[in-house]
Amino acid sequence: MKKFKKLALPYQIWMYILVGVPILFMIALSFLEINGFDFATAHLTLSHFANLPMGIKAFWLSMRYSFYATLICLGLGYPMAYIISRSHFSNKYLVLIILILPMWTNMLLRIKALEVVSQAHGFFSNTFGISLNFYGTPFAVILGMVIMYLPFMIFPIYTVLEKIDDSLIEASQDLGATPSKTFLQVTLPLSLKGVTSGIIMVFLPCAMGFTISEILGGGNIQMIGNIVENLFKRANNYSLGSLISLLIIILVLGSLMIIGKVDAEGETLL
Amino acid sequence: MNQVIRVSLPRRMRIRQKISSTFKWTFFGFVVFLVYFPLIIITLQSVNDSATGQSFMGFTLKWYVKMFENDQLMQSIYITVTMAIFATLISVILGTFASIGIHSLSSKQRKRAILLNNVPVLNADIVTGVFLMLMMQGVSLLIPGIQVFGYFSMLFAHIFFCTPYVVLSILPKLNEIDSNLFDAALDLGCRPQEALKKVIIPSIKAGIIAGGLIAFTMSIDDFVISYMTSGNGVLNFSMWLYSIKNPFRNNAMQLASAYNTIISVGTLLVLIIYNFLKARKKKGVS
Repeated sequence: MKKFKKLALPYQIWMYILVGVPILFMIALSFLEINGFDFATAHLTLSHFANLPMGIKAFWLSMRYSFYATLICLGLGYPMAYIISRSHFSNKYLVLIILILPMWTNMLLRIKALEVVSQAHGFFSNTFGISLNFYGTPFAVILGMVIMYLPFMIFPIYTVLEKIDDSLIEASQDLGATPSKTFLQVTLPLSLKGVTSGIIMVFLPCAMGFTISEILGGGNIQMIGNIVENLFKRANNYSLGSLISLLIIILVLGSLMIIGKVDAEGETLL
Repeated sequence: MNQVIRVSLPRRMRIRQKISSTFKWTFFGFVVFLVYFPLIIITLQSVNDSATGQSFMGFTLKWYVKMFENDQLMQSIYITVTMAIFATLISVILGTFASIGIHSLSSKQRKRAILLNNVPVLNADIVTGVFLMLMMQGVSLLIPGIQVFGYFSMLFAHIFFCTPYVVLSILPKLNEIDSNLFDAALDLGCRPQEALKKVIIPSIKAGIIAGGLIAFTMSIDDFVISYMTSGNGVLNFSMWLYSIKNPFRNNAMQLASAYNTIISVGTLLVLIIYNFLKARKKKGVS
């Protein structure tokens, strides 16, 4: 099949252009005083770096909230994946489809539904008589992240758990290990690949998204995504936007390297 | 084997097992509830007979009719659906050829190609959106007077972020193929293109279909990248929803919920029918 090597080339060129050139653009824009995309009147400057601390502050806030959300997702997702893989369901795909189904609902609409729930006076409190009132709090944002991204933690972990050979676990039991010891020394190490993928698949979109923090945060919570969106779509400040986006790109590249190490074929990314 | 052990367990252990099983299924139910919670609200809103949406006033199906009368919503749905179809078709074709190419590379080159392929998968949507927007701004700089942002810029963006998912779902299927099969086809007198069409493509069909399904759902659901790359008033469904700050103004929430319920049920039906046909076909073979 070596004959089809050529087929990879156009795709790779297309990816290199669409990923590489914009990064160069962004690095250039970070050093330019420019109005929108008008290069004719642009000149070199370092003034954008003065605004970088604001970006870094938002970056750490995003990292913190996303860390909490990822931790909760892991705490809920690992046992869930374990239960499904160890269960005696005749059709495990059905269980997985039950978990995939919510993801076919538009995410923005689901976030808006949570907004309706989080308000003190509104649909939820009037209908069910429970006033939740957490609109605009960090709790609302983290809860939103957990509900939206929990399936992304369950699937990669389930995929690796399902692949573990049952005879390994039986062997461990036959050799006298207690169930907890079997889990810690056999199952857990074998599932770390899925855990890594799951953590990255939850952590990155949580930290970099802007819709959850904008809709559920009620304008109180400025995460890095909100700042980038604001700079590019409203303030038309491409330079500062590029500079702050580069922070995100560094984080993404780091994650790519990790994924490239633990899962070179990208099996757990779907 | 398992059954035999379970029967001979002492009573105390059986009780403990029962408690842990109850705990297990409570946990299972809790997680499913958590994931489904927004859907419950959406479904309730879609049949809620209340114009303000502030409480549940009884069952109605009127939003399912009224959604067809809202021109803006219909326009955005039209854009969303046609774009998802085009983006899926094009990214499936592109992704199939790309993954066959990537599969034929040497191991080191393949790793690098997959790494590159994963960039849009892992990248923050907002940054991917910025990437594409900057490229399109660059194009409009090169060709003055061109109107870049609109339906086609959005379609281009969708193809860009859908293709990597297609590649990821086809590659494992290519790894499963016995490479002798291809050589055998050549020995039997096939030209390489023919062998590709008659041997390789049929054996990765499942991956192609799965990739297409993923691409379709990614495209139909996308907000951030479309938001960054669209323009001139071209809105898809997510952007239309986002543009309405108060969810109940003009009954947007109820109408959107109705549309969404139709889509979810529709996709579910397609999947059930697909699985049903596949199961029947399998039975026919064996």
